[in-house]
Amino acid sequence: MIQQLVQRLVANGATPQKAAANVLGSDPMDLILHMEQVWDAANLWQAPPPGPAGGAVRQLWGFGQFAPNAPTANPAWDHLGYAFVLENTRAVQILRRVVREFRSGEGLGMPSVSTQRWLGTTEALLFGGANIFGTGLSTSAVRPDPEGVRRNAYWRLFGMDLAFGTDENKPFGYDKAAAANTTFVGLFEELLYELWQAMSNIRNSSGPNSADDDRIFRIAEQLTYILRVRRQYQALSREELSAVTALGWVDLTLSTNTPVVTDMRAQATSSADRLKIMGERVGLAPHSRASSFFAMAEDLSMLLRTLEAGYVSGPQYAWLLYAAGAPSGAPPLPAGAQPLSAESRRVITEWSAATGRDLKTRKLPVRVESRQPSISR
Amino acid sequence: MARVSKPTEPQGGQGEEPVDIDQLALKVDALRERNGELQEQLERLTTSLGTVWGLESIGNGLADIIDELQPLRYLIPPQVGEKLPPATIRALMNLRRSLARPDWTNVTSLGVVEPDVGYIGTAEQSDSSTIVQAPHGMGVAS
Repeated sequence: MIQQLVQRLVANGATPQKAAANVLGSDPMDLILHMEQVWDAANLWQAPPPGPAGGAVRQLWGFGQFAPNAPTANPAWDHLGYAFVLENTRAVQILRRVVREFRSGEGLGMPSVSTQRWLGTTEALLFGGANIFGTGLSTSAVRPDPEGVRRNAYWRLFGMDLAFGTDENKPFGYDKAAAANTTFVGLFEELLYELWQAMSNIRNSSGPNSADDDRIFRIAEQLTYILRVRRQYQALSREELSAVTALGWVDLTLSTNTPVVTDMRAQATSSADRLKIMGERVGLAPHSRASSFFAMAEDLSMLLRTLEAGYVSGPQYAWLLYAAGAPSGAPPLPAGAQPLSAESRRVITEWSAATGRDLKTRKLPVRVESRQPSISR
Repeated sequence: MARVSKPTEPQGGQGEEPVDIDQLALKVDALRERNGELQEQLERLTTSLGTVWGLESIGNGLADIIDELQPLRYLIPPQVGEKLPPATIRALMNLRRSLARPDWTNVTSLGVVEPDVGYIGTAEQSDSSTIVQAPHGMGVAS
């Protein structure tokens, strides 16, 4: 949501630098009010006009800094997978130490005005700093730790935990649901394998062709099913919006040499390198594959959104996940509706690098369940 | 439906029926499934009666046939892609538009100029001629 807000400011005439500085220097209340506007515009629960937001919130967001930059109807935000891979870099835990150091002493030097503003918003968005919309950030006295809320969502949707425990390397305790998509990883890696086969054969007009559109469709359909079964009645959507807002903040913070990066003398040319230097300053190393996580976050988000939306509703549409354009004989796609060849390719490469598993060869095929009844949103 | 015609006999010989590759591939799958079932039954029989050499040979033979036929799968022509339904195209365009974000590749700095800060109670502010004030006091060089 954060990067998309910057994009909307850019679309309204600001430079990317100015738009990012504007967002990074904003009041957390303005960002949270904007998040409420995005939630309202999405209207996932199909509330009748004027939408799901109550009158008081509706009045309040009119005072917000970003009220004129609200998205149009039916906006999408990044998929929870975006938050999962970014959090796996360990950036949140490193920033926790950064905040603690700046707030409790002068070991990192004196924070500039911009960094002090950033610290305030980071405490609110990432670390449970009090604000009047605690529910908006999916925390309460029942589930006080935002990281625990996110880990719960990751486990339920992907059957995966983060690659580390607390920042002191102790097990991280959180509510681990019994119902979780523990088959996600196997299915997803099988899909990536099949997509790679299809990409490798896309120009084959004769001879053996190991592209299997029917199998791609079957796996994609199974992934759609398991993702949406966790989201019946749009459950977990609020947690997802909170998670991608928090990790979007982290993403923007590290996207370029922002004030806190500069104050920490962590200037570099990539997000992973900036995080690495910041980690050195506070004594906590990022994940060794952090660069792959950063590199695939955006593309993984797009790929998972497409899968979950069920756009590949038959083998005749499997090309959407691996082709660069419409199939021969079909009319060209309009601008802005290009297939996901680039995204899939990037995810295959970076997922392989991050997990150490070669997705371009397969040990054993994964069994795909028989067709499931369609699931309504 | 994928059909591969065998070459017709030369010198006026009668052509044979076309071979249906899809059907053959389906048969391979069916044989594999049937083989699995037979193996399970064989295991149950072996448990109750001891080793039955004949049945085991049949099971192994079926597995061999499946392995022999497996390459047929790769002869199936690629699935013909069809154009996306208009509703899917609209949804995809909306998704791509919604998730668009800035490209930070060549952005090395935000160019933030820190404002001069006075002391509590002093009236002087930063020089507004060099700083475009962003909300909340953070300036970006103009």
